[in-house]
Amino acid sequence: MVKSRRRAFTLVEIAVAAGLVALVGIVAMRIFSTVGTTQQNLSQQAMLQMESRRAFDHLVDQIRMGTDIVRPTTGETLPFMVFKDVINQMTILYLEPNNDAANALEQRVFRLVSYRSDYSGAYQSDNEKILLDSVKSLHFTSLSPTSVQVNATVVNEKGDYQFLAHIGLMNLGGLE
Amino acid sequence: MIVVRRAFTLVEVLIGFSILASIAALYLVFARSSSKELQFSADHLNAVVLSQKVSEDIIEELSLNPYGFETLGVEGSSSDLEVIEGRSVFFSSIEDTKPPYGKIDINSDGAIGQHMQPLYDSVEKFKFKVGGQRLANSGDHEDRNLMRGKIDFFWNTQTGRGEFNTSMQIFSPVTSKKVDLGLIIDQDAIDARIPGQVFGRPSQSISEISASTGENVETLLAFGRIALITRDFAASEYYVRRKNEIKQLRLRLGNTPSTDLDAQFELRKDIAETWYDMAQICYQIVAYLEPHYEVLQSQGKLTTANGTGFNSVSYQDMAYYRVIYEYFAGSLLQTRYYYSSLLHPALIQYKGGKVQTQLIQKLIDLYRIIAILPTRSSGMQEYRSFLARIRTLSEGRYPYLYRFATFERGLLDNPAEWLQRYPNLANLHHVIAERVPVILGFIKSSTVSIITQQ
Repeated sequence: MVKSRRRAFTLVEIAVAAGLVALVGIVAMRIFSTVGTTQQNLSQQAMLQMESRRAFDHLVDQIRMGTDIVRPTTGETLPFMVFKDVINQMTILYLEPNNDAANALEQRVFRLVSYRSDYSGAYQSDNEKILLDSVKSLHFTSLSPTSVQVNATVVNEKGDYQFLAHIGLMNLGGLE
Repeated sequence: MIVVRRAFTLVEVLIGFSILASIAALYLVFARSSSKELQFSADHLNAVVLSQKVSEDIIEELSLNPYGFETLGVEGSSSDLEVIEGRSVFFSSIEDTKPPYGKIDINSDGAIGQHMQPLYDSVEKFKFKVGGQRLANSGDHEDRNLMRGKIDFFWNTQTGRGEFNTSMQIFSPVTSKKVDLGLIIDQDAIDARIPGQVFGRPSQSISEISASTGENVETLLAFGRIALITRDFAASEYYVRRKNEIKQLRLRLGNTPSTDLDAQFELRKDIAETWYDMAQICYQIVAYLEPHYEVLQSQGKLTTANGTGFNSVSYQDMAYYRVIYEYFAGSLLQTRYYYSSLLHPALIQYKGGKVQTQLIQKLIDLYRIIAILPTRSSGMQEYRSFLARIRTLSEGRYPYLYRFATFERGLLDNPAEWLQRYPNLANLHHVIAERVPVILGFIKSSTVSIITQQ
C-alpha cells in the first residue's frame, strides 16, 4: 500500500485564506451590525408611533369627558389645559418634568399628567393619572369654547414625533 | 477508534459566509420594506389626525352657520388644499406664538411653518380636498337639513400614493320649522262659541247666521275667531300675570348682591325667558289671526252693522289685535335686553365660553327678528352694530364666529337674499313686516268707517 503523503499549507495559502476569511468576516460583521441597527431603529420608530397613538387616544378620551374649557380661553395658547365636566368637576392637564427620561435622552422631557379635582378639594392620589411619559412639548390652543387644538411632540431615543389634533368636548350643558 | 476531525476547508467557510450574507441581505430588503411600511403607517396616523382636525373645524363652523361650507371657502371648490404655511383656512390658526398674546394674527402667526419641526416635515406632503352637499339640494324636505361632508387626504409615498378618506353627516338646518298654529288653539271649541258670544244668536249655527245675514261662512268664522281669541287673551290676563311674575323676579334681582353671580345670572335668565315666552305667545296669536284678517279683506268688510258687522265691541276686538302685536314687539325687546345683560363680563367669566356662545346665538335670533319689525326702524342698524361687536370680539380668537359675523354682515346688504337664506325668518317677515302693517291699516280704516257710520 502506498502511503499518501499530506503536504502542509504554504505560507502564501495560509495568508490568502486568512485574508479572505478576514474580508468575508468584516463584510459579514458589517451586514449583521447594519441589520441590528436597522431592526433597532425600526423597533424604536414603531414604539414612537405607538406612544403617539396612545397619547392621542388618551388625550381624546380625557378631553371628551369635558363640557367646558376653562383655560386656555379662546385665542389663547397654553402648555396646560383646565376643563369642567358635566358634574362640574375640574380637570387639569399639565406637564411635569420626567428627570429619568431627561437623563436618558439628554434633553428636557416631561410627563403629561391629568388631575381631576373632586368636591372635597383635598388631594386624592386616585384622581391623578399619567397620560404620557415622554413629552418634549405640548400646547393647547382654544379656538372655540367647545374644542381644543393639541400640538404635541412625543420623544424617544430615536427622535421626535409631533402631531396636531383637534378635539371636541362633550356637547352637553350650557344655557338649557 | 481514532476519529480524525478535519477542519473546514476555505471553500466551505466561504460558502457558509455567503449563505449568511445572503440571509442578511434578504433581511435588509425586508427591513427596507418594513421601514417603508412604518413610514406609511406614520403618514397614515398623521392623515387620520389631520382629517379629524378638519372634521372638527367643519362641525364648529356649521354649528354657528348652516352656510359654513361657504364661509370656509370650500363650497364648489375642487382645488387641492395644503396643510402648511397657512395655505388653507383649516390650518391657519394653529397656535398663538407671537405677541400680542391672546389673539392669533393669521398674517404673522398661526400657520405651520418651518419653525414647527418635526411637524412641518411630516405634514408638508399632505394635500386634501373638502366637499359638502345637502342630501336634498332644494325644497323643504327634511333631508335638506342634513349635510354630507367628505374629506380626502392624499400624499405621495415611496411606493405610490397614500389616501385617507372620511365622510360625515351633519345636521345643519336651513328649512323652515313645520309649525301648525292651529294646534295651539282649540279651534272647534272657539267655533262653537261664536254664534252666541259674537253674534248673540246662541240657538243658531254659523250656516244659519250666514243664511240670515247674507255674509258667507268663512267671513263669519274669521270675524268670530278674531273676536273670541283676542277677548279670551284679554280676559285671561296672561300678560298681566306674567308681568307680575317679572316684577317679582326684578324685585329679587334688585335685592341680590352683584357678587352673587350665580343668582344674578339665574334671575336675569328667568326674566329673559319669561319675556321670551310672552313674546312667543303673542306672536302665535298675531300669526294665527293673520290669515283671518286676510279673509275679511278678501271677502270685503262686513256690511251689516247690526249683529254681524262692526260695532263698539268688535272695535275693541280689532283694536286688541294691535295691542297683542305691541306686546309681542315689546316683549321681544325686553328679552333682548335681559339676554344682553347676561353677557356682562363678570357673569360670562363665571359661566364660561360655551354659555357666551349660546347667548350670542340667542341674541342673533332676537336681533334678526327685531331688525324686521316694522315698528322698530333702528332694528337693522342695531343688528349691524351687534355683528360689528362680535367681529371685534372674535377676531383672532374665535375664527368660526368671526367668519359667521362677516358672512352675516355681508348678507344684510342684500336683505332679499338674507331672508331667502333663513326661511324661518322669511316666514316671520311675511307676517310681521308684510302683513301686520296691512292688517293694522285695515283695522284703522274699518274702525274709522264704523265710527263714522255710528
